[in-house]
Amino acid sequence: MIRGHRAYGARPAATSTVPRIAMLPCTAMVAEPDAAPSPLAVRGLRVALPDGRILIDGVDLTIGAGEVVVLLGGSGAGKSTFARVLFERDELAAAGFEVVAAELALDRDQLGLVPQRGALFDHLDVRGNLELALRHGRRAAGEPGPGHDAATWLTRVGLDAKLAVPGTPVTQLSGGQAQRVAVARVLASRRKLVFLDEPSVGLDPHRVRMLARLIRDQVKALGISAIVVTHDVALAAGVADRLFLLSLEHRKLEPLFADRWPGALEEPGHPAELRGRWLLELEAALVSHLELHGDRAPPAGPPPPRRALARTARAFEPLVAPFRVAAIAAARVPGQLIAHPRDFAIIARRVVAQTLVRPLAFYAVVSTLIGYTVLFVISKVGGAGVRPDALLRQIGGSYVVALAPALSALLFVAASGSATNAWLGSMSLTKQTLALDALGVDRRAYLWAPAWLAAALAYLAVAALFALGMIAGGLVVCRAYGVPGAWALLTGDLLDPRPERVPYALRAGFLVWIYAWGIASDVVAKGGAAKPEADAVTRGMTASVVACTLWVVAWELATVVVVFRA
Amino acid sequence: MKLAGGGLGALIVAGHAAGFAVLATRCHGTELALEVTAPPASPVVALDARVPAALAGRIAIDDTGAGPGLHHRTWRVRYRGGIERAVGAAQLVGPFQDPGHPACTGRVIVGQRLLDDGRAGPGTIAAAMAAELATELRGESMFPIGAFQRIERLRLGWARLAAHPGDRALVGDAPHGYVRAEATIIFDRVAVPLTVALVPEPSPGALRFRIAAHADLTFDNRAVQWLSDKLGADRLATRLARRQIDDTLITALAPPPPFALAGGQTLQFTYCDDPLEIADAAYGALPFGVAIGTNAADPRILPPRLGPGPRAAPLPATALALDLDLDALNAVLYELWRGGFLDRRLAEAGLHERFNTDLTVTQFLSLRLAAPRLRLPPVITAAAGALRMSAEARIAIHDGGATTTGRVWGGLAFRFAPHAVEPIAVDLDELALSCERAPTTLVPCYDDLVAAMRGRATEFHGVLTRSFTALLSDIFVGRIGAPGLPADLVIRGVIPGITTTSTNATVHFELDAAIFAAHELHSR
Repeated sequence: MIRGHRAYGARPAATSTVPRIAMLPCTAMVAEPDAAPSPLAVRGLRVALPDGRILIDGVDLTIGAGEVVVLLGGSGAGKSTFARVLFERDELAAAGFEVVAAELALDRDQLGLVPQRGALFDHLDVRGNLELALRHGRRAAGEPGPGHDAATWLTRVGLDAKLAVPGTPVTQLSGGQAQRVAVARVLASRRKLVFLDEPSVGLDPHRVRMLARLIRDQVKALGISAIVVTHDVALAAGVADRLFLLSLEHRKLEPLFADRWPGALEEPGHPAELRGRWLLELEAALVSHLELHGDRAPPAGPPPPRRALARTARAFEPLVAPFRVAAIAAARVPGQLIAHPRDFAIIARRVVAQTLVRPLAFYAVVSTLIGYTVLFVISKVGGAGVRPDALLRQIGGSYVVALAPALSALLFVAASGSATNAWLGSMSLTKQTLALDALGVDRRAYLWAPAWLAAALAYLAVAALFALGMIAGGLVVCRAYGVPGAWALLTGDLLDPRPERVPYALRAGFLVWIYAWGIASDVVAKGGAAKPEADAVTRGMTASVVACTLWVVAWELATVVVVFRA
Repeated sequence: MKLAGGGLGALIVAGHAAGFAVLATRCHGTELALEVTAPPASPVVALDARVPAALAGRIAIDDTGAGPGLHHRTWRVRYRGGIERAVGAAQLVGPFQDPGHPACTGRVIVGQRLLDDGRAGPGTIAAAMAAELATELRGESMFPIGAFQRIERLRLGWARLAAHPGDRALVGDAPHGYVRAEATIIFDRVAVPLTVALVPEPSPGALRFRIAAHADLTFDNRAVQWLSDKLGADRLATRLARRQIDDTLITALAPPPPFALAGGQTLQFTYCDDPLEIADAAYGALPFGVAIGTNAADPRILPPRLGPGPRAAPLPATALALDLDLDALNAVLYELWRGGFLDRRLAEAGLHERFNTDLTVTQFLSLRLAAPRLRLPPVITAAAGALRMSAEARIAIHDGGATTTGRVWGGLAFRFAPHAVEPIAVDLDELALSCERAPTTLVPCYDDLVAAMRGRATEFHGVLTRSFTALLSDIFVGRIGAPGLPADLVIRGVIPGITTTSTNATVHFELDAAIFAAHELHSR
């Protein structure tokens, strides 16, 4: 639940023109260093956990141009939650968090993010990561024409330009390289305010200092601002113009050394002993705070309001989400195809590989074996005295028409659907989707639409392949019994059904169609849902298999009733 | 947004569900439903039907052969995989036989062997006649010839004047031949050499013989000779000939006796206008026709007329034989159909019950049949050295709670091999079923089932052959004809044969026959 002003996704000319609604008392004011329009203004932000406990009870923050602000805090203080407030408010609300603010003005097109561990897009190479940011960044900034290319941005963050060679996978990068590529990516997106979430995780002290200098240099060079969320004292001291502590005691944002902080210690001019002293002092302040309040649980707040409608909506969300995804994806496919065909092709190719190419042999073998087994068993059910070939002629290709849609759908859900589901889930788990949002890339258009269409088309291909496999298996049985014209016989029910079997063929076609978009929608909906932890990925996969199986069974039953009643 | 998206999704699903329901209701494929308004009988083939436009390009039409008969047209659509859906309709095609003027469509052939085997052996007409004469004359005594003693040297034969020019004075004009009888009747005082000629004469609706007899009595005594002449020995001979020979011949030459059908109907074979055909010392053959009536329900329905069939000369060994043209057979079938005899026999035969109670049917099939009723008279036609009987019957098919009226088209092929162990072989040649959605709307039905039965046609060979062999035996063997006449005909066996052209045929029944005087038969 979010109350107060929202400019999420909008592009106000200046946030200062937006009326500010005072709903909560101001608890900490931070002076604005200059009069330039701030890309972010937060006042009276309060975040409550789904159980009502208060995670953040008062954040007031305004960033000035060219300023680097560091938010320090212990684990559980709400640093990452603050980042999610800025970038994933819908997901937070869907998860039951209550987000309330007197003012929450931000221009998402001006706000960039470097998630923890960089969150590089692993379906793209290094160059692809940067080019995606470049394409969408220029568009978002309204800066047509050529900008820096990928190599230039890599060089800018101190990386070898050779990493921009196409095909360089992001998985080959070291932690430091990945972090710098992530910084390069967000810088390439030309955001005015960059949010860096724990950027020094996994870096050695030397690389932490290099990162601090890099941030300072780029902020200065590009004239942007930055918020660095960290509990790394060296990084914080190295980059911060101002320091804030997310207090575990008061759940508020409190300035540190407000009146005596000397500024970023990695800036030239600060003597080494000064840096050493401040590091100690900063560490002492932080440790002292954590020693006193580190184990303090978020305080209980007022019980969450009983909103039956919201609860009902949340309960039915797993059922509704696929339909919503279907509508959204179907609506966005044409636009994405036209506006970003390359992006569309990249995602679609990845999904097709997951859902069709990799399990192709599996489908071929399984369908052939099933086709053979089914027809062989049918040929034997007549028992003694019944000619198997007569039974086979009677059955024709009806076993394919009857079984192929359901069997292919169930196998597709379990194998292909789960693969895409897991991939989408892992993108959420590793913050890649968050990074997409932060680059101004609409995940629904960039990710969902092509994934949805590719999964649907892949299922259609799998269904066709499955039917062919079942026919191939049937051909083996027919050959064993010497049935003449077996190919025509087994394909007759599909290609030229006799009138009384037309409804069955129609039913099969309809089922394949509805399974295609139904499964694709559920896979994208459940895979694309927020994944706060690894188990959520497996939960999503299981839920999708269950939901899609029910979808298949329900339609099988419903169409049987309709066809035979009709 | 969430609610809107969800609502839209739900709408899409609901739309799909509704759309499928509509599609499933409307999309059944184009069924081969034919609107057949053709009359059941027509002088020429007029079996047009209105076919669904969507199938017009892929319908193949098969017709049974041209010419008069029961014509069957099949509209056929082939689907991939060798699947076929077909609808058939039958029509009786003319020209038709005229109920008012039965044509000569059959003949009874009496061979010389039955007439007289040269020694008036038992079973011949000569023997029967001799016995009857002896019985007749026994105790006969007249002045001056004395009492009857015995008959000697009785000879009977088919004769033509060309071979017996001396008979011209006795016979007069006999363009078609005659039966020549010679005998000597021994009395106490005289032996009467008797020569009798029986000359067939045109007589509508009956077989008539003109008797020309000559008894040459020769006495040693002139006075007695005078007396004899006065008394009229020729008249005696003529009297004897008319009473015995004439009737006995008529017994053998008569058309098959009327066949009583239930319901007061009788199958009548009638004399027709063609003359008796006599070959000297070989055979005599009497043409006959089959009397047909008019079908009250639809007078247009009549047996087809194919015209005279090809007739082979009887074998020298023939005693008694029947030649039946296809027109005769079809007339018989028509009469049997018209009076409902065939329907009753079909019902009594219980083919439908046998189907319904078949173990496979009861265990695996939901459909049950009622007794078939022939919609049109069965028709026999010639087909490549064999005969083919076609018929169309209506049959009620009960399947669960639904009852459909089907039209069964069936064909039986008859093959003849007179000297084989199995002189007649009968096979199911064709079987097709269409259903009446409305009286004039025909649709395919139970195609796979019918195809399966058709595929088992060879399995019907044995039962069909046995059935028809038994039927022939029932019809001919053991029947004793012409009650009330002085002689009776006994048929001990029958061997069918066939003479065919490309369009016509004659069925020849070689009867193992003997004739006995009535009292002689009764004493047996």
